[in-house]
Amino acid sequence: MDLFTILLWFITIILFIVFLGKDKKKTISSMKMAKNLMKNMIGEIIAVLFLIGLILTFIPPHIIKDFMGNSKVILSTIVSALIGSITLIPAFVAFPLVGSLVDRGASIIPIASFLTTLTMVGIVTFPLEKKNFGTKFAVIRNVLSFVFALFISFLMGVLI
Amino acid sequence: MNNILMKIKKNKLLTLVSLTYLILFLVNTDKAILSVKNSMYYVKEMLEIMPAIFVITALIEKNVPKKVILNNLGENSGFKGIILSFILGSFSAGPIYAAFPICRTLIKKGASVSNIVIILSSWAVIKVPMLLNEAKFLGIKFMFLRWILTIISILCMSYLVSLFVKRSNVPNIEKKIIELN
Repeated sequence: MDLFTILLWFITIILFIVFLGKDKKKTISSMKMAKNLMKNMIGEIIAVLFLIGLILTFIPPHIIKDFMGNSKVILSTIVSALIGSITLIPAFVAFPLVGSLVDRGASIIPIASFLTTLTMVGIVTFPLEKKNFGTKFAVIRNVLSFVFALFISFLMGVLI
Repeated sequence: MNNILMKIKKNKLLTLVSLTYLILFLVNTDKAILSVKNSMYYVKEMLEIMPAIFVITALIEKNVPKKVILNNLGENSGFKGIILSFILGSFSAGPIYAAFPICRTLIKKGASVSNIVIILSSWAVIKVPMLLNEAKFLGIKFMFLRWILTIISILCMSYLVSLFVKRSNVPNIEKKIIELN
């Protein structure tokens, strides 16, 4: 567990104790609700996680690296943004991956677009987002995030 | 039989993914095993984080008064609401889907659509542990510039999304919660 996960648990436990002292009955019933919430979402979450495993098998990190390191910057930026939208790679894998590209002198524009869509645009997590916030919210947020990721990366290309 | 069909209908995605794995196991066992291995990291991450997320979601839902959320993250929370949303998202743990249940509860309790977009987006891209990693591998200048540009983008996005999506567009919030109780 990383520091922030431990912190999350710490805050959760503190909140629980504070609320338990304030209103025991309500807090106990909220634990029941937490269980129900989990039951309600867990099937879809598991499905998404195993879908990510599948995607990573067919689009492995070294292929992603090839796309990002392409010399046609505009094309590779758009492709990188698309790949970032589809995949979900943990930061500790993604950063060394792109770091090695930069060391080899690759353009930072596709790298920035990949890093931004990787986390902000979620095609795999779209079903979960839709379930929680509705189709309209999920579509608009993801489309805008994609567009802004491109905007961020091209601006970075100009500024760095 | 009917019961099974109902379950399949309720878990369409899970059924689809399971079937894909089943077929892949038959066609290409190596790739199927690799996919399971790839997934395990995410399953572990989920198990470490989601129980805490659901407890916090339920505590906000049941124990935090609506007024508190409305005042701090509501339509009229202004600058304070924006800053608070950025802080909530930036100091979070876990992947973006961990933010979904919490944000759903916040929106139900009166948080504005634009503040929810800020929390979700900053949860996704500008988390502190992520920034530290980024600075290590890509340099402080790259990290800092992307951070600034991302914050500006998130602010624009939160405004744009709130133009199109109203709180009433979020699906049957009331009904779902009653069901859960």
